[in-house]
Amino acid sequence: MSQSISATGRFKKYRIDFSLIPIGIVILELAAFLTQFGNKQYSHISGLLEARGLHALVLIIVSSLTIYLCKKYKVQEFSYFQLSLMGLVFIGLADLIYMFIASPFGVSEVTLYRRVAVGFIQAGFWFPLLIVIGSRRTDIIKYFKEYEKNLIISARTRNRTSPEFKQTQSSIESEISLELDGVCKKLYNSIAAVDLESGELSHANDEIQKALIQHDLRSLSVRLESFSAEQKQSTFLGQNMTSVNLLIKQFGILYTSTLRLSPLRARAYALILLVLLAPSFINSFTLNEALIYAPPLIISISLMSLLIVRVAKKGTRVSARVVSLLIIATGLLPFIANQIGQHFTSDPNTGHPIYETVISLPLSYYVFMKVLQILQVQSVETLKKGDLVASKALESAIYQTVKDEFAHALAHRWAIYIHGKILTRLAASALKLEMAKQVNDISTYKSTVESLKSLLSHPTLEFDTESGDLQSQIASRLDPWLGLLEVDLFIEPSLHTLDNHRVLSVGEVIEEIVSNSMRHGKAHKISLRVMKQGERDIQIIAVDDGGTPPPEQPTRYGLGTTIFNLVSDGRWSITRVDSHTEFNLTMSIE
Amino acid sequence: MVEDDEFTRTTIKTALINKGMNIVFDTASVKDAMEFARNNRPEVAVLDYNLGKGPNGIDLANQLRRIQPDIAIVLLTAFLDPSQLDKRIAELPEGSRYLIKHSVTKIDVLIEEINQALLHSAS
Repeated sequence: MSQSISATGRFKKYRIDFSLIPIGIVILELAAFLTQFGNKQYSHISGLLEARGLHALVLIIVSSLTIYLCKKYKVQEFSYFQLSLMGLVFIGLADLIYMFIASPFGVSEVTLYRRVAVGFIQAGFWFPLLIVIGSRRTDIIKYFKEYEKNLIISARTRNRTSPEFKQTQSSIESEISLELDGVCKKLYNSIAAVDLESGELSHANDEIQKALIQHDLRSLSVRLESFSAEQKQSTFLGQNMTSVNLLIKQFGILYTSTLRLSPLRARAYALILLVLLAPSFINSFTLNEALIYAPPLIISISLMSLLIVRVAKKGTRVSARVVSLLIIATGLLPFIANQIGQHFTSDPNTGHPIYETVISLPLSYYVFMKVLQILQVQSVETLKKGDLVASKALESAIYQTVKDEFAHALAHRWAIYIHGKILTRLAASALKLEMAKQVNDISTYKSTVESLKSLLSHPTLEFDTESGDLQSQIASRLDPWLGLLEVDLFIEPSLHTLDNHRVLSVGEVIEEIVSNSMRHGKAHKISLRVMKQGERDIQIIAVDDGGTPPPEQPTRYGLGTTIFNLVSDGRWSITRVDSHTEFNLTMSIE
Repeated sequence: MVEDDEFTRTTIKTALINKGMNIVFDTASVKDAMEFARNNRPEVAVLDYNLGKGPNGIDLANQLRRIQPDIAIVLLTAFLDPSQLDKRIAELPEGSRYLIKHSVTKIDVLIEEINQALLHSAS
């Protein structure tokens, strides 16, 4: 058995973490309770509950003592064989303790030889398996996290570059632009309706000033800014998504991938069904009956297991479904054997209830094999980028997130433009008109009104969508900061002349990095490096001397996070190294 | 006076000069503003909140106070409630005033704010 599941071996030593032992004890007690309950081995249910509860408590105390001794004497590495031996001692001791506890609580026990057989199965299989998998949980979680990260990056890239997303982008852009046009047109009409030729400048000015005070533009700007500042409480699709969530959404695909890349061995399929089956066999069958039932059952289970692995190796989606059906079918073999066997032996003890043989056993076997297969998660490391397939639910959630991030970032840019350019111009024009009125300068008044009308007829004209080449884009972002912050910049020469739609995004990232360093980190000096990474990516590394450490991962949301996630597809990090803060982002330049 | 929009800067500057104020320096550049402040120690800085790409008026105000603790600061913004725009409005240096640009239509309002800022910085 020890070699049937990858990463286990008879002589290999495992660094053991016993922290899952209490959970194992509870599971063990529950299984024993269900068996005794099913076999009516009690006079009162409360007696059975109390007996199992007390037994669990004693075992937890014994195991805690063992863990304490192992830690004290620094015994941390065991082979599978040693674990089995330890399991045997532990289970034996547990059974001994139960012998004393059972009768005072009115619970009867099965015969000694049956208890010994069940004990061997528990000690030789469940006990070491639980400890080995439990000890590997950090590695398993690490692989899940890695898989999760790669999957999200890949799905983000796919969504961001899809024609559907590009269409959504243009539609969001034109939606904002149209709304601004509409508001400005209304204002234009109000100003154009004022008669400047009547000679009554004071009256005309009152009308224009009244129109300029209108709040529609301000409301639009505030609305856009509030939308862009909406913070997501859940960082579900950032890099903080928990593997448990991923596992639920991604279970089927992860299962198919691991099944194709690293299928469990046939021995694992056979052994696990046999050990699941063994306790009820041992408890209900006589030796003669077992000798009649067991051989054909073992042979048929082994053959089915070979078939399962053979189909699994085909590696297609259909084969994964067939494997699922075959697992269920294999799980039903004991039921079939039982039905046939009843014709020969007619022993009521071996006529197991149908819910046990048709539902409970095949279902437990199915779930167990699937979970065990998923635990081969290290195999997903070998998946290529294009093979990282997200489930429909995950893909759609990622699409929505990328779309929201884009809309938030764009809304922010428009809000800044409206209040920084248009509202400012309106306010300055109002002042200029007021001054012209005071000195009755009709010519200046009229020319100011004409400038205003020109601004309002083409309100989006100065909205910055041009990027230029990479070097000039970065320079245009950094220049305004000079004087407040010392900047040391290096751009790989081959990137200087890069000129495509991604350059504007690089500029936005640089702007966010520098403003974060100064505003949140209170930095005085920042070093920026922009380098090529492979053929399609660039890497931006920023190190500043900010005294304030960056916030922890879970609290990292807001506009900066939105921009970084959107631009890099989630490939960014902030770390504190000594007295410096290091920011690292990788983004595609295609 | 620091304002990135030339039309706005010239208009406000002219209005202030007409009211007898002495505008010693006006610029769109944060770097130039810092350099001027370092060398000339002006009494008041009138800053636009939105200076285009790069730092904003709050960033500049804080840096000006760092090099010249007694400088009076008036921040101009196009928003009715600037805290809606930037939560860091609370981080404006003590005694600073902020003013909605539209109120500048009556230039006396800006002059009053400048006087208030001077009063606070003196105290």
